[in-house]
Amino acid sequence: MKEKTFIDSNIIFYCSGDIGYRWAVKVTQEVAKNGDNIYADVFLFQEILDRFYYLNDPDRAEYMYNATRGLLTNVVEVTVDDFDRSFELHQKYPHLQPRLLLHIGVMTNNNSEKIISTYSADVEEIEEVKRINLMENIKI
Amino acid sequence: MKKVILDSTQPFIATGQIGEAWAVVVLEEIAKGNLEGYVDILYLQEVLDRYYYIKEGFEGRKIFNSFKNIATDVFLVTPEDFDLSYKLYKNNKEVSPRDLIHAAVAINNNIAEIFSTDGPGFDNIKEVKRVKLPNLLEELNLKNNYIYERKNISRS
Repeated sequence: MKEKTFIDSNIIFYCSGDIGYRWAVKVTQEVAKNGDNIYADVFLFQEILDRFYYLNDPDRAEYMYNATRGLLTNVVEVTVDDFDRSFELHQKYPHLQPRLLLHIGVMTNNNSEKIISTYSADVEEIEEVKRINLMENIKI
Repeated sequence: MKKVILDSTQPFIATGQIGEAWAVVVLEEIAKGNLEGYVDILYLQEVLDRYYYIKEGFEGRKIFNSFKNIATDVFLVTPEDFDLSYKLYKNNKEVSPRDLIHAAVAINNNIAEIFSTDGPGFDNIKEVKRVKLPNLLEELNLKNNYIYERKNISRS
């Protein structure tokens, strides 16, 4: 992956805790190796902290926050312009979640068209970006 | 002038089917410039999320735009804000991560007070002070006005 590529939080959840899929761990290892090209928006941290808080698992919240904070070197802030862009997308895709549209708004405003996500159906519906097929792009 | 950061309880109480007059009054005071009311960017996401899940996505966008314009400023949330929220979390493990990030943004932007009707969360964070509604209305000389005085409403 040499192009600027965004990652969302579902990979992080797949590789952690009770789920712990090996393929997701491999993906995060690839992220660690190719970190210069991998980006995330800052709300990814919020999603991690939210998830483990509501699972009443503070130890894992700490572990996963520290792990992702160290793993992801390119974390971009979310701006009002990103929300404005997501609003344009909302008019085109009114049934899709605001958080997903914000992801795409951040990506397009940061000149990226590629996303690593397991959230396949909805992401693939958005023609402004291309979801990376993990099986084709990462040797697992 | 008094400065506060708002959490997302405010738009939910001021809008839609709830529409409490006191919450609208607080927003009017911000719009008039009598109160500096800041929000952070996560607050805006919470507004959109809520309206999406009650299947009123376009209404959520309208409210989003209103709040974006009314707020004195919208603070970005940075990785450093998350680092601070994580430090706050060490001493406040019962507080939700969203309350902690609002508090961290407030601290990093030198805002000492948070206006929220969500008492249990913010009252536990000793690094910031929650402004309670009666106190805010009193400071704005509005305590005797509006529907807040209804006897059957209990708000802290």
